[in-house]
Amino acid sequence: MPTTRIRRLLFNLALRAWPRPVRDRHRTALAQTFDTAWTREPARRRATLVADLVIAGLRERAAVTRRIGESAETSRQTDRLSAWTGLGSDLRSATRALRARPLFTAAVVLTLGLGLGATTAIFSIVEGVLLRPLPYPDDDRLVLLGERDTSRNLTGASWPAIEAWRQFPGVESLAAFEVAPLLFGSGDRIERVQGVSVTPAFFTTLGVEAGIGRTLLPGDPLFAENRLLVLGHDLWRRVFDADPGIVGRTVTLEGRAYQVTGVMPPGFSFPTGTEFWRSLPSDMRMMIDAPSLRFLDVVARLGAGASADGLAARLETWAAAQDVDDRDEWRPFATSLREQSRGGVTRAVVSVFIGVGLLLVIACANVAALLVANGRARASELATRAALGASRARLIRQLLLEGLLLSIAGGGLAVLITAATRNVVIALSADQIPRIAEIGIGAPVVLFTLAVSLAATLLVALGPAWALTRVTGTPALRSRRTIAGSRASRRLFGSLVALEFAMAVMLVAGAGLLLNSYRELHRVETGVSPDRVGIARVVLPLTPAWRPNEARLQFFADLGARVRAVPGVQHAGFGARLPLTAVRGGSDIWAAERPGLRVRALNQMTSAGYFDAVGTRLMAGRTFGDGDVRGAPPVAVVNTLAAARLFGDAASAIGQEIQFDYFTGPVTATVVGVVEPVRYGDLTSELRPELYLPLTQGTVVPMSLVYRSSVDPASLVPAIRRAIADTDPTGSVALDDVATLSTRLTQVTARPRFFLVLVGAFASLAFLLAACGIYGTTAYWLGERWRELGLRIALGASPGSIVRSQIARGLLLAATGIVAGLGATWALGGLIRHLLFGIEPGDPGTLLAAGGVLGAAAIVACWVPARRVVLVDPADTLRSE
Amino acid sequence: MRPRRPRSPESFLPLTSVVFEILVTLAARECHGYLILSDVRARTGQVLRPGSLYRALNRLLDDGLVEELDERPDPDLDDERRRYYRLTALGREVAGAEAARLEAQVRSARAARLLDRRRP
Repeated sequence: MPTTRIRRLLFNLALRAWPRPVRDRHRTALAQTFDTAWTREPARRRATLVADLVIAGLRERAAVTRRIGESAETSRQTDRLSAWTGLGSDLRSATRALRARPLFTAAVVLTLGLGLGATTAIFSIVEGVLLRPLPYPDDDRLVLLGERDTSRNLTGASWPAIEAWRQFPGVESLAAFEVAPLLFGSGDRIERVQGVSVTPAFFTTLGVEAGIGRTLLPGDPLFAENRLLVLGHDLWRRVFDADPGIVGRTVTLEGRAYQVTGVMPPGFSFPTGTEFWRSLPSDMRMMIDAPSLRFLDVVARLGAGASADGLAARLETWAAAQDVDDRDEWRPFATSLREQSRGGVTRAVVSVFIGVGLLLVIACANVAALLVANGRARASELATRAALGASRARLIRQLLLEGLLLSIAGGGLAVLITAATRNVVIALSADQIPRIAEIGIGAPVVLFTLAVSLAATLLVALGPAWALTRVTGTPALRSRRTIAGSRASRRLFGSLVALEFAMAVMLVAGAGLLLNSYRELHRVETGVSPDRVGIARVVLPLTPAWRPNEARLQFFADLGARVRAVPGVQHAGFGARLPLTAVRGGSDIWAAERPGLRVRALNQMTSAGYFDAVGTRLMAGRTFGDGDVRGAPPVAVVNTLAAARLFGDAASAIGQEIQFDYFTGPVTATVVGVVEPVRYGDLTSELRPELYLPLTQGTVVPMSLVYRSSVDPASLVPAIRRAIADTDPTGSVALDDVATLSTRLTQVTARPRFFLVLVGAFASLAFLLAACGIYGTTAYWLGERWRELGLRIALGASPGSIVRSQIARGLLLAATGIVAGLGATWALGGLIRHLLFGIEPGDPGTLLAAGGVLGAAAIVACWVPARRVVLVDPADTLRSE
Repeated sequence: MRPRRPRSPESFLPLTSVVFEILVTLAARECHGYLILSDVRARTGQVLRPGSLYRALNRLLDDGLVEELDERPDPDLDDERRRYYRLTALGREVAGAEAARLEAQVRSARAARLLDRRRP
């Protein structure tokens, strides 16, 4: 056998052990060296030669594998290291990517900011008004107790009742209070200050302490001759110039001595608006045993394990066991203080919060569309990056980082918007929304904004990020407009548009309903004519000189004359109750001939000139005049409702005799006039029968001045004060609560106006965003296909038909959304019925109008981009091909 | 073949004895494969086989210490055209550095009087 051939064979076989690259590189040289060694060296060495070749090959193979493994390991380690440093560079490139597309970034941040801003603003209201606890320790353990007269809307508790309730298990402590304002100051610095008389356990029950000095404490006497006084912080600064020596000093108020025990810290005011607290007056001692004198309010602190409902049940049991005459008319209640502090706006605020959620959905839909469009524009860039080695996870991370930056920017803008609109919101509420002044940008609000913005952005960013990074290089690099991709995005955009229009129409319909409701409210008969009517409370002191009724009547007569003499005053009068203010009480009246038919009527006492001043129309007979003085036959005026119930109609009532209980005893009076009904409370309260008695024939109670002027009523106030000073040179009479009937009306309509403006703002934003959304998607869609459209036009298609078909397509999407949204509004309408007045939630006119408005917007928003595209010269599109 | 970043000569140290001997051989003159083998055997008595040689040569070529020359025949052997190798400048530096390192080691050994009894 030729050794050459064996040699060759063995060599080739041994060479197989080597890794291919090395083998190929050195084959020739190795072969030569091998051959030379084979021939030159002794034959016994040949086996070793071959073996060495094989082993060397295997070792080289092993060495190569090890080297590869090492470099893979180091690159994994550097990968982990660069994951963190990579984060920094990813952030930088994310910022760069956003800055490179300023329009896109601005659009996203603005849309997010607006949607989130509205949401955050409402959440700040939810947080401040509904959620935030009251400034008392364990405020959820505080309850208000009392009995409610369901027919008269009175609440109160009697002394014996309170003593009984104090003993209930579950009541840790209990305190009673009565609203009792006082006059502070003198001369023209006299002001009537809101305050309460309290039992000594008042402050400990609430769990608050004085800022300076001490509060009333459980050890203090219940009724003391030397009465104790605790000042509110603002009152202390205003009237006593923040004098720190006030503690322990005795002050005289309305002729009585009070010893100041302390000053409360700023911000404490319970009940709302209270500026001082004093111990109980000694004459209250007489009412201790009177179970039917329910003149006190009660606040109690629940013991551990007790609940407001449990206490209410216990009260019911107690009440049923009471043997009192008027038991059937009163029912006990126990309401948590927190619930009461919400003032019944809970449902309205929650409804608005849900409404703003709709706006947020629209904003997110727009952002999602923007992200998808932006992503498709970047498909080639991302594909290049993927081809250059970026992993899918890394790309998604970069896209999500961009989303994170956008959401932070949007959230920041939202917080700014909320802060900027806070004062507007508070002003809008006109003090009619409880605790509205407490809303602010606290930690809960900021956290809420960040969380929602993060969730929203990541949610809408994740989808496009996932879909985008699915590109596998070549197809995406070649063309951005793959058929499958554009069809999917077209479906997505279509659904987003439909969704937006559904949400938008719900908000617009809601705003429309609130608007119509507000107009209905203003159509309500008030029984007064509020233009240029000034009102003010005339506060007479309780000093002995002022006690006799004659002195007071004389004062009012003189003052009335002087006020009527003021230039600009057309009519003036005095009334015990004012229209559009809350009233309590009433008494039964009946025709003298028919004592069995009793009508409960509101009591009112007025002077001559009152009806002309407020503008209440006289329907029959006459109003009070100079002849209706004490000693003259008693007269009365009733309203049309009382006249109808007692006598059939207004005319028949004139000259009839009616009877009623007065606090001096039963009275018979002749009806001399019938007026139209006046509305008290707010515009939704019912009209009731009224009984008017002349001031000059009665006992003076606290009265208010009403004057109708030819000019702005406020401009006449100084002249009126001068008139008061002239009538009472001692300067102890005060004019308080100066306002006008118009401001009263504004206050009374403040709450519905508040919610109307909020929802109206959202509806406008929603309308705008939805219109932008459909405009944007149409423009984008057309932009993607403008070459194709240009070709079509060049080949003879009419531009008008293209525009029409585009409008039709967009309108179809919008219409789907609108129909769905209107259906939802109709179905869920019952939820917002409580916000409406005089209109049904399913009111067809309003719903159709909302649909029409949005439909018109859709048409215009589709027409504009379509028109612009087809105006392009088809030659341009062909040239760019 | 991946281009490697230029390295300092010291970064190659220490060299294996096989690699060092190959460099020493090539420092004198350009050689082909078998010539290196016989030169190393002659100088150190160490039997180097083709497999190990070419493994080392492969590495040296990758690291840029040795470069290949065009094939030319060796007059002392048959007239076949063989591939020649020679040191690069870097290779010469690396060999010199290793030699210096070895010398330093010998100096320490001499100072420790380890070489006294070993005089051939």
